Amino acid sequence: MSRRDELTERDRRLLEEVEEIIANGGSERREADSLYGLCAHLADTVPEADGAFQERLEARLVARAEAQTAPAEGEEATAAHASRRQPRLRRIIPRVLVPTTRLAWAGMVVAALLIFSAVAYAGVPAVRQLFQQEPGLQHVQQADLVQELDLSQTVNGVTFTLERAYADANRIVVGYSVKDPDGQRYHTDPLTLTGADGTVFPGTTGLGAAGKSAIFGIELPPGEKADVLSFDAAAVEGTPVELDLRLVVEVRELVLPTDTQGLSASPTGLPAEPGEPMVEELEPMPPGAVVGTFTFDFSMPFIPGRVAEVNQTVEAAGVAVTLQRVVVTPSETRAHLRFDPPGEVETIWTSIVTLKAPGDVRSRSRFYSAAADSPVHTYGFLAPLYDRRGEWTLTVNELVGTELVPPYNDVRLAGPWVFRFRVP
Amino acid sequence: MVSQSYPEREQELLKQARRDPAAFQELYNHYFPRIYAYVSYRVGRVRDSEDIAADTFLTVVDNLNGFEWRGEGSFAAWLFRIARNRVSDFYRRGRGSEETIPLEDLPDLASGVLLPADALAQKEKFACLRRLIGTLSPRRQEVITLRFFGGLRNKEIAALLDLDERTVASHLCRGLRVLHRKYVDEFGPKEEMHSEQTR
Repeated sequence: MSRRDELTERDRRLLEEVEEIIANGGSERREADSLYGLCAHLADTVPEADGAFQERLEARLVARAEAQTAPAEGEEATAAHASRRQPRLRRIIPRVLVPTTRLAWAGMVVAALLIFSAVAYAGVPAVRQLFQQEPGLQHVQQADLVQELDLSQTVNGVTFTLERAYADANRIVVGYSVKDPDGQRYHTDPLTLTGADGTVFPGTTGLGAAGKSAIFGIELPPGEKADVLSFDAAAVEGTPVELDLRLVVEVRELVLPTDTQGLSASPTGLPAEPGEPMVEELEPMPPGAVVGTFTFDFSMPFIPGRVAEVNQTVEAAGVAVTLQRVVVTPSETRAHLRFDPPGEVETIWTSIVTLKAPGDVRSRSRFYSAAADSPVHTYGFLAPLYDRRGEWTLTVNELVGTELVPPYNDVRLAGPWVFRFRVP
Repeated sequence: MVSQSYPEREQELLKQARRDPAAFQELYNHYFPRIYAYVSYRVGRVRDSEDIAADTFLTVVDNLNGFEWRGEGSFAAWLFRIARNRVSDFYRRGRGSEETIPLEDLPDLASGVLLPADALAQKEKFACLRRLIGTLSPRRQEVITLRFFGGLRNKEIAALLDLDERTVASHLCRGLRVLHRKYVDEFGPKEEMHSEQTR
């Protein structure tokens, strides 16, 4: 090694700072034109792959690995969880239950129903494939924490099968399929999940597929669809060993729009003059016929969360933000933050939040956010962090608001608000 | 559950992954973001980064049984060696020679940015940093991208590049200082380098 490679004291300090900056993901404030500022800038400018691509590649790699190993196990899941019981099916009088409020989950990221075209992937049920598409669900499937239910009902030739479910302190997940041998497609809406005491679990995220899916590697015949839906489990009190749940779903025919007559040039039907807006009047789509209401009663194990009652308050930009609690479960980590809306103008607020769990090289972005009851905001990280031990860091990088009065300005308040804590 | 950090689990995961494809998923989830970030800085375009990242991991799956664990960092070094070779192949085929890449062809940044204008600004920063890093010597480009975006420690970079650890540290320090000078020369001292949005 030459003398050129000898490190000075300045070099050693730089290396220490680089270590710290990278560990914090570049979120620390540094002087704008300093060398450390550049390092923070580098650490903060990290390319991220499209989530769908990452998941597609993962499915492809698993399939390739499976093809190279011994024949896989049969499709039946093993009942590995000690407290798992056989599900019960009872005749129940249907109840009408109101889903979540309109603004309750504003700002939430939902992977909604997708329809693709492509290559078939034989052998693995569609609902299981959907579980693979999201890191948290993939992990609980891998860890054999998902309960196979296989509860079916057939009404007017349409079969609804509640195939599997999972429950922890952050969310309850149900996976189901709908089949019509005649090829008709269906909506499953409204779909409500309640506890035995009538507690409503609001819907949060979801995934679904119908037809052929290149991205998910799913092929379903005409008339079949599969969905995996998550519901917020925060309303579960205490740490029950099992949850008694009721799923009620109305299935109605999916009515596809007919071809339009072409654009009307104007409301009068005359050809448009230059500059005149083109207007097309659309008829509201007729609701499809209701096939029936399907109701399932079932029980399943409940996995409690690791809860950190953090209750730390940090002030920046004149705003005090409190990290109230963090709940870590096998499928998700959820952070509950509170801050009083700054300013006088009515504004919807959310935050740019990142989380660094013990062992993470860099921070991860939140998957969704919700303001169920402002000023409390909830941020979900759909990643398997249940086993992580050590110091966690949650950083609110910025508060972002949209004013609700004209001219609907965007407002941004820069932080950071940094919270460090441990989870029991 | 026995509580272990990821590095402690890695050897066990590798053993399991040879017979249980599902175990490979944790390895994949741990390394994919880092491989992707490193490759993106080296090649720029999203589609090229995706192709190289996919090729890298497919190679890993095909050759996992032949990998021999040699201590902490050995798998990361092997994985990144494959990625480096794929990047070298990319350039040997005459790809990546264009002067500038359209912003829409560049990857998104892991910053949780919400507004399209901010996402575009972040891409511009990425393009600028990538261009400046590209003016460094090949060795310093490697060390900086492996450290900041591949998440490798100096010791792992040394194993990967067959260098002494102190030489890697030296390249890193000097590379950053040269990069800083170039950055200040081009943009002056007024550019905000913090991740927060300028007001």
